Amino acid sequence: MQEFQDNFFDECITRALKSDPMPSAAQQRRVRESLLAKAEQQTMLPPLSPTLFERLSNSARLWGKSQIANLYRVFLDDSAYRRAPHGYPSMMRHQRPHSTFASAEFMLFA
Amino acid sequence: MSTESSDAQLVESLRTNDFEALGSLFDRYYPQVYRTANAITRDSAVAEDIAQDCFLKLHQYAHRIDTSLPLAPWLYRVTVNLSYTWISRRQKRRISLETLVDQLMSPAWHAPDHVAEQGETVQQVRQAIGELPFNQRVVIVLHYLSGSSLEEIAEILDCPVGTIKSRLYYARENLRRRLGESYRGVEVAHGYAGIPG
Repeated sequence: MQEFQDNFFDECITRALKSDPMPSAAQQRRVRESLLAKAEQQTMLPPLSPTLFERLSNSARLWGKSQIANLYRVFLDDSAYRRAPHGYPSMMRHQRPHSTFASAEFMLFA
Repeated sequence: MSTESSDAQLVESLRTNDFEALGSLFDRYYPQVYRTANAITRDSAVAEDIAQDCFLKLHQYAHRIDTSLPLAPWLYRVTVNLSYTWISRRQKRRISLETLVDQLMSPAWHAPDHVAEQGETVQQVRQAIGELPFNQRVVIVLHYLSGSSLEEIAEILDCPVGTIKSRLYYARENLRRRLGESYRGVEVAHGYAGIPG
């Protein structure tokens, strides 16, 4: 019942709006002539400069990417913790097994 | 210019100041634009001016129109904006009673043969639509006259679809309330009122 009523109501609105007369051919011709005459005197606006927009969007994109990378490094990147239990820190990589530093030997030879 | 040209091709031609392309677009869309403006403003002379201004803006902004998108929603958006400007200016001017009477008695709305053709119900519905707030009236016109979907109307008015749904709902409720008894009378005449819910 409700659906029938809704359909009928929709139909009433559509019929009411579509009952407006279409513009006559003479009216359309008159408006067309007037439009073309006015358009000939009118200046077209130039296209919007894409360089400014591109520059801004590129800067925004780069800034966003760097912020995301920083946040990732601070909060999510745990590679340093995973690396810690294995091997030596990089500053110890020139140390010999008998605890003498390679740099000391270089000093002796020099 | 071939009649087969797409809107995008015609806009591209228009960018080179091809007035024939403007004429072709005018022939293609003028009736829809005019009827939309007429339904919103309820003034045929104003609707004629609004439709013409709409195509002048099409010429003026030809370089800034995105040809990868359909043209009709752009035209409807300009029509709605121009209608809104006209209505708000008219409200500010507080038109005189004589002007209002002239408008109500304009041939496009109240010529005796026209009224006879349309019948009382159509007149009442049109009047009720004309009394709706601007935002609701626009949604009703775009939905029922132009046949635009809710998503298209949202695109035209640059609003979320939920807002359009809400406006359509309240517009219909308002219309039901405004039409009131006369609408129920029409239902009875058409045999809808006796059907159990």
